[in-house]
Amino acid sequence: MNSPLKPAENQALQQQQWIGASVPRPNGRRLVEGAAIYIDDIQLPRMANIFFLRSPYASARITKIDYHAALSSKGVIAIYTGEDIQRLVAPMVATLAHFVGMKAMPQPCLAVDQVFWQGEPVLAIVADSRRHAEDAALHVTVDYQELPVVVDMETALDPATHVIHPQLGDNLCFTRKVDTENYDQIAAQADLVLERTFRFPRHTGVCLEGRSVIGDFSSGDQKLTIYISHQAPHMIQDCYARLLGLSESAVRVICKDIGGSYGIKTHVYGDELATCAISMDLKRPVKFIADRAESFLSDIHSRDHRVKMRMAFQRDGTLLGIDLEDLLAIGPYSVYPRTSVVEGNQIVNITGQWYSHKAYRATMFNVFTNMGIYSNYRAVGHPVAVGVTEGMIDAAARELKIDPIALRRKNLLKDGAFPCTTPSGAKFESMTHHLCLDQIMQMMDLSKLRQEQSELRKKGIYRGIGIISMIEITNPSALFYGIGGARISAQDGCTVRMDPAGGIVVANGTGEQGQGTETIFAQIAADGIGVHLSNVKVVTGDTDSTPYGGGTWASRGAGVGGEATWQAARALRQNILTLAGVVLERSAQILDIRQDQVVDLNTNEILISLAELGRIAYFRPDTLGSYQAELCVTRHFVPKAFPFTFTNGALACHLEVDVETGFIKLLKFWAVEDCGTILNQQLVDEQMRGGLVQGIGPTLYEQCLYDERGQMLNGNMADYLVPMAFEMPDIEIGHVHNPTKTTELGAKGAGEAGTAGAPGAIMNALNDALQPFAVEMFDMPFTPDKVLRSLGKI
Amino acid sequence: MKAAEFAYEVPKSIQDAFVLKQSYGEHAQFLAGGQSLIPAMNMRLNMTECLIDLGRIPALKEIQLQDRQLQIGAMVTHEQIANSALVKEYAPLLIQASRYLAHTAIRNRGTFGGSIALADPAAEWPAACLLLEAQINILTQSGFQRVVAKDFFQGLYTTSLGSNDLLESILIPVQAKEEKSVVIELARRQGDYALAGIMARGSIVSGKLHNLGLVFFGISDRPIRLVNLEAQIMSVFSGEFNEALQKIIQSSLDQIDIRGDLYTTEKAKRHLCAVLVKRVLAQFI
Amino acid sequence: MPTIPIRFKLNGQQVEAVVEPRLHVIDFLREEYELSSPRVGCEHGVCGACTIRVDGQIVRGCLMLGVQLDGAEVQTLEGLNASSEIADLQKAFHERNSMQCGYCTAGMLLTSQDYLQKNESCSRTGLREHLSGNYCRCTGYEAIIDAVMNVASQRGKKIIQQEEV
Repeated sequence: MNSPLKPAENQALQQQQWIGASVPRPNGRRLVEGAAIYIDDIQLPRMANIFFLRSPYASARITKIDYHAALSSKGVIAIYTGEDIQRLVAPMVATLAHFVGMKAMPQPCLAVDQVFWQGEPVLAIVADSRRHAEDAALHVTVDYQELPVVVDMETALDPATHVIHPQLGDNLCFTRKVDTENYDQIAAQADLVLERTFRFPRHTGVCLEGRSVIGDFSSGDQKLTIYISHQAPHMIQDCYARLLGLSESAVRVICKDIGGSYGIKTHVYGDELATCAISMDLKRPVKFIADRAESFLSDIHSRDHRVKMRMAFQRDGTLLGIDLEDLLAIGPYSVYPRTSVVEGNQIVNITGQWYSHKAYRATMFNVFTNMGIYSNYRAVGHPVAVGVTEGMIDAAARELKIDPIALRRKNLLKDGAFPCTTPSGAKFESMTHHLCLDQIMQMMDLSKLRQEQSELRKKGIYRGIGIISMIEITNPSALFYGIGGARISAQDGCTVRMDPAGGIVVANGTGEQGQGTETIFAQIAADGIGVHLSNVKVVTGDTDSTPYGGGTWASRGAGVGGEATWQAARALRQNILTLAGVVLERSAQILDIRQDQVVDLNTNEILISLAELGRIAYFRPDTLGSYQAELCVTRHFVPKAFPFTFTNGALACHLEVDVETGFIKLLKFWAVEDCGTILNQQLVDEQMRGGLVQGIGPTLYEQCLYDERGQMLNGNMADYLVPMAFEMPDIEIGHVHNPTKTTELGAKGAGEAGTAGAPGAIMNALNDALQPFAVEMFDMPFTPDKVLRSLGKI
Repeated sequence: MKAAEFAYEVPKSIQDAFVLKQSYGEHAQFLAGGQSLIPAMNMRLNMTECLIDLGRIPALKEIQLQDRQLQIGAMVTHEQIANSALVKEYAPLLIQASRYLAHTAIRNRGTFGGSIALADPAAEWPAACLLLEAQINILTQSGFQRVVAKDFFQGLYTTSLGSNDLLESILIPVQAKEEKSVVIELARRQGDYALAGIMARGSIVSGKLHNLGLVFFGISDRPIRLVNLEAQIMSVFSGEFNEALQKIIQSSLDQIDIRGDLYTTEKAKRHLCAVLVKRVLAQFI
Repeated sequence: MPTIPIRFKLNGQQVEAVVEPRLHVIDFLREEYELSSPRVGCEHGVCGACTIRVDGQIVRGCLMLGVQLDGAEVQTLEGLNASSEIADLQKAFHERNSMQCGYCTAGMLLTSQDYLQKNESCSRTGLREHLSGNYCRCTGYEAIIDAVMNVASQRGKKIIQQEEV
């Protein structure tokens, strides 16, 4: 456990000028000027372009590939089959030791002999341009023999169902059970055992910038440079080096501006890996940009759950126990290297755990299907865990005829009841559920909304209010991946240095996808040292230029990357003061750095500028006697005190249902977030808003629709419905500040909470609106058709 | 998603365009606004060998009033219609419908003629043409042809246009001053194609409904007008929505061929049609 | 297939090129002129990332062919940036954090400017409607609306507070 905040650090944080300020992003300017650089903007000499011919079938044997005629098509450089790539790339097996009993087949980059999902790459055509590669594809013949298809999760484990990978014996990827072994006993004594079934649709990320990579192998240097739109450059370095048979140091990964990611770009994709293998083979740069059609088919999908949930209550509303069974459908492979089981695993670990209860049983079945490949996407598992918990609480409130807020008050973990370990084994440091509820109710003016609801019902207008309490995993330790054997780093490193002119450069292994990571690192370093924000330059996204880092995922950028930055900045500050002490012949203890100047700690007298110190340290070390200045410092940080630092919050939704048409109109949202120390409130608020709207997507609109042959029916922007501006409400945000004591900064993560909470809040508001009709809905997305059916109109 | 190769012709007159199409035959297609055609080309769903761009023919871009008819050139854009003073005055239904039509960037290029020729059952202009009893002017091999809307729209993306015909303009009879028109479109998101929609016209004279016209769109393989239902409603309508009216509407809707789509079943669409009629009539009360 | 010679004005400069007919405007501008702000998001006209200005009107660049630019005046964000036409919008976006990943930003800026140019009275609802064809996955849209309404005030537009659609 880290030692508690030192007095000097505490004071530093209280004197902060930049931490906590909603400064505009220094790197935001290039975005509004159209000067952002995404991977597709990069042109390299002799760069080739790649087009992947993809399987039109979800399950088939490849009986023939004839690409001979295509080789002489205009602009074609080379063509590779799955076997060709197999010779260049080791297979990916995405299982981890801590998911005991998990099984999965090795996944080839391109299909070999058999295809297992619609969109699986089958042939790689390399040409001078993408359009020439696509032209060449017209001269390729691929013959398939269709095989049985598995798309229904409910029957995937039936003995009669086709087994996708016979070598695995069945279609079960992973099952896990958490059981305090007293649920049945507790339930037998309960006054009410409530049972409901929830459905969350399969959906996908729809990043506006498609997945993008350039593999650039230099045969002279025998080095591979990978330009990639990705959240975890060091993970890519590790995975690609091992899979391509290169030493770690022979691989450099560079990330530029990233056009949206949300977890879609935290994985290793076969087509991207193949692109780099081909670059090595051809000894020239090769670029792959996934277009919209192939993004729908080949980006990872997520969610796709059927959850059977039971909660046992006493008549007075006391929650006694929780029992759930989660069935979810992944694709035919487990995605490398994070696996495809983390989503379900989270649900089993955290569902309902923010409520006091005595008995907990959670079982999860994660089954293979021939639908698209599947893995972690923003808020992994939480939308489901929060949605089913909060949906049940409201359902219980309706049955027990207890006010839903009162029911929450009764059962939510008390704000002072921490640290604690929950029945599922989750370790909570500290939470503020009650404070968050207090605040959100104040913001909403709930009684006014209730009064209005009542009056409008008399006029046949049905509005609903839904409130939820929630938790979110952030700042993961090595117990998330490392413990299972994954070479995914939970630690972050940051190098902070002062250059001769007094400017500060921060290099951090965790980077930027638009959430503002680089900005908060600059703010932290500026306050950590005592300089103006404009004097801090941040370098991220280059494995050659930054310390080893974990990247952004599980909302760790602020809490982990930020903490490493803070500690490095404080260490550099100390070194600068020591140097100043030598130069000024004073004790460093009575010096401070403020506004880029070294000053007397007590009188504030300016004594020497950082620029002057830089000149001396770098160009006149002969004047420093035996003292060696060290103006470049690296610190690493990894969370250790808790496996995760959980945040908590409350969300509320106000909506109106047109009971004649089934259309739902979102009127307003409120969110209260406790993410500890806030580094930049505007950035946190915007993560909440963006995340929340992303959570609205699958609740009302988004779903990957598949037919019984495993064909995706809506893989385009017209038929796959993402939230657009007109239907989205304004969102009011509030904050509770409960810093974590496990770090000096006290910052927790904030990137995923909105996505985790939105489905539950909307579901509760919808069921609240429909209460006069004694109707409940738990099957998302809540389309007009479903609303009409629930109301018995059709 | 890069288009396959194709040739490009850009004629300067209607005649030149027509002659080009005759000579290319099935190897060329007319390019109007491109807002539906170019996506299909990009996705290689359409691999036509030549596009004949109608965008440089001024005669196709005019809106004119002639003998109580509004003549709209095939290449008039959606945005031009939405902003046209002539249309606002003489065919305000089109302005009402344009509220639901796509988005500005699309409307700046998409054309009235292109939309009519494509005949997407969920689009606004075909439904408007059917309701307003428009006539479509077509240049064919055997000369000039004028087809009424109800004969023009024949099915899913199917019209009476022959493969080498050129749709020149659309004639819309001027809407009567005392007439009220209503457009209600249900769509999941602003600008999306209709999930179910209705366009209506009529006038109230001494408490009675006259000249009622009702067209449904987004629910079948083409826009649907129910002339019998119009007649029945007019004879029964007394200013309030009652059980009898409900039954008439239900029974009439039960007759039509309604098709569900990816998200909305046929049952739901049938129900929504009834709701839309009710809401339209509420505006005539 | 024969290429076609065209002449047009690009961001204020007269240019000439020879274009393959199948190239849509975005691919043409990116390849021929190495412009990066025109970008693709879907290539079927739905997402709005490709929004540029042709002859003063916003259009989907992915749904126009490069050959159709003959005689036209084209403006991309690079051009608007150079002319400072939307400097107030850019500043408002930057300060309000109306862009996160930045990929939709060019389209949002051009469409927002189009809204402001066409409306003397502005409302959040009207603005949301005008932007309804521009997809953003990062921001949830509100920060964009805030920034543009802010600029609407600054430009002296009448602000309509509540609008029932």
